[in-house]
Amino acid sequence: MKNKMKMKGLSTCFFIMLVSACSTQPAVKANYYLLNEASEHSAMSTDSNSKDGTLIVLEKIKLSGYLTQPNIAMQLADHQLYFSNNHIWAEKLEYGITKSLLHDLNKKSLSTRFISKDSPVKNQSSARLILEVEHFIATSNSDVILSGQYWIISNKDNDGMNINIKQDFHLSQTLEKDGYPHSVSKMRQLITDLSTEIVELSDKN
Amino acid sequence: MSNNSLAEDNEAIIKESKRISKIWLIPLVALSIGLWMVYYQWANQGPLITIEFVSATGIEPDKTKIKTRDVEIGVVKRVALKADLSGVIVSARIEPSAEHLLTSDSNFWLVTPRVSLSGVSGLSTLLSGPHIAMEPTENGVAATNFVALENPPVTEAGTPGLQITLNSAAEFAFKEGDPIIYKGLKVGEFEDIYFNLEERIVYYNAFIEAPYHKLITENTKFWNVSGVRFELAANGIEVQTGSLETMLTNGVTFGIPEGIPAGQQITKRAYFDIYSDYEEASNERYKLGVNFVVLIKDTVRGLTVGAPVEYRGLEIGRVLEINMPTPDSGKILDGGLAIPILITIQPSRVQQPDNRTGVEFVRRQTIHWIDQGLRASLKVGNLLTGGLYVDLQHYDDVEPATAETFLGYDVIPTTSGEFAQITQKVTSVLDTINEIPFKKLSGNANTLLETLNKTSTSFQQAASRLDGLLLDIQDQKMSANVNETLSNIDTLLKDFSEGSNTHDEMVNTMQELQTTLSQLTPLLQLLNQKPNSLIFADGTQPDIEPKAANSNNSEGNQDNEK
Repeated sequence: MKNKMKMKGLSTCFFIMLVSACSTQPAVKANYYLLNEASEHSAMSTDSNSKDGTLIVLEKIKLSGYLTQPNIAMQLADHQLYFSNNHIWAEKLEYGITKSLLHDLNKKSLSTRFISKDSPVKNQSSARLILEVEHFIATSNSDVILSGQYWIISNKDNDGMNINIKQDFHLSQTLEKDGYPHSVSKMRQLITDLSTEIVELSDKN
Repeated sequence: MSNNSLAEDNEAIIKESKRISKIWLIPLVALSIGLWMVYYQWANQGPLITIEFVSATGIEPDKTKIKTRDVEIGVVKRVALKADLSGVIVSARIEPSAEHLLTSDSNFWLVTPRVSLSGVSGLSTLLSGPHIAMEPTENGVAATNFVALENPPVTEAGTPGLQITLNSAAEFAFKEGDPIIYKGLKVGEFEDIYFNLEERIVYYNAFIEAPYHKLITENTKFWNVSGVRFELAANGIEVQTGSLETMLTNGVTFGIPEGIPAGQQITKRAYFDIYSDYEEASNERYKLGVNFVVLIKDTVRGLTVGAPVEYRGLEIGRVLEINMPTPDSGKILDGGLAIPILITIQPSRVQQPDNRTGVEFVRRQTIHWIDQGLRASLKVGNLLTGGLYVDLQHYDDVEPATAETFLGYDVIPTTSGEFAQITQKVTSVLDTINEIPFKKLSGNANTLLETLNKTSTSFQQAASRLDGLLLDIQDQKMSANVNETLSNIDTLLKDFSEGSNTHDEMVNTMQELQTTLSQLTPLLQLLNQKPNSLIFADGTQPDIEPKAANSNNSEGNQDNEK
């Protein structure tokens, strides 16, 4: 009887040790990223409300399929992608691009006011901006690229402006630091570069 | 010496015996017994009779019995052909006890199975074989030679009833065994037939069974009820049938026509005529009649001999002859020739005595009535059959007629027949129709039709308007329904439209769901890659991170090497 009791105690201790060994794995925390900074909103609102020029609505941002994933992607080779398990977009990338782009466009444009498609003054817009993003990713070559095309199309019932622009773009930024946070900040900078290009083009027309 | 004397003494003395031995008595007794037996047999055997048959079908010597009332009274001993081959002679020995039954009136016949419309008989002989039946009678003189009947007698001798003789000169005929019906009951049968060549009349001996023979009286009439009798006469269609048996075969019935006394009962054989039907039998009582001629200028189609002659609806006579032969018969194709019809008026039908006095009274009365306007005409007795009858009526507006005779008969003047009257009436009706102003009527009718046409057009327009109005009402109702439905849909859509509470709640819910899914995504991916990673350490490599440009080359190479 005593031997049996001893065996039972030893088995229980062994099981507890085995289970506790499993819990020694160091916890890996997930990191969430926003494309636009928290301080951008006020600047965008003040700038956009002060202008009385042409109204362009950012109607649609079409992303490539791999960009709709919440995990932040990285290009390892020409045809190889890697999705990070621990670095995740906090919101849809489409929303982040929209907010960032609107912020930058309104900040840079002097005469044109850019609004989202959810804006209540959408019907007063004279043109539409449609953006299609093909690549928006950090590469293994230590740079971040943004490529795609955009359209600026005037509304038919608007007599004030008659523009039809289609423009391809390919922008890149070199990474100066390791890690995803720096990569995200560079991606945000690419959006700023794109907005600069759009504003310049729209102001020309 | 003594021995010699003894020997002499012992010598037998032979004497001739004159006596016959008693032993011979035995054969003598036996012989006498035999002779007595032969004599007894000869003396007590019945008479040997001969019966002549047409053929000896089924008759065998020493086997075929002779029976009367199913009692055996003899046996056939010999069967031989007649010398002239006209028949067969059957010799039979009859029991002595039945000898007294053999008279000249005795009937013999061969009993074999018979099937006829009257019935089936002799079935018992199917197993026992045929036998000769004898009908005993006490009439006639003793006889030993007989001629057999071809068929069994219908009525057995001694059956109570009445023998009668019927005769008929008509075309119908009867045969032995045909029934005599009285009120549907079979009361007698025809027994045999005799045709009198000189008179050309068929005589039938018939037997009426008791107690129905008491129905036969002096005035009893017999008439034919064979089969089903259809008569299309002026009175209409008559269908006469007797019993079911007479529908299949022939038969007669009898009775006393109405209005005739029965008379004395018949007790001995009597003679009666067979009439074709009850009508003829009934009319037989009207023996005398006064003949007149009626000259008909109309058609006589539908008029038949025997058709009734009516006076104001009462039948007083009948038609005797149509188109009676006259010396001027060759002129029948001449225009306007009247067809002579011979009719008879029977005094007994008009409550006059059936004698010369009655005949004379009827003639005088008729001629008197002719002066007062009595006229004859042909009228349709039955529309279905088209049968005509001669109608005698008094007319007030007729021209006076002079007494005429035709071939010695008094002529009853005629008035126009019913057909002529109908023709006149039809002609007058047609004249009236001709006088109707059809042209004027047709003009009025045309006007009326035009008015009706206009009215109908107006009515049609009004109906189309009403139809449109109803459609409008229906459309309005339908549009109201559609509007109501659309407003309901609008209300429903407002509940889900942007800015509404429902929409906001749905968006919030979806966003929360999306957020939750985003949070769950790394875990799901981890579980997807390593299902046991919740418990055991994750053996995967650390995340690949973007590298800075200055360290990219060396570390990137290291990664590739890994």
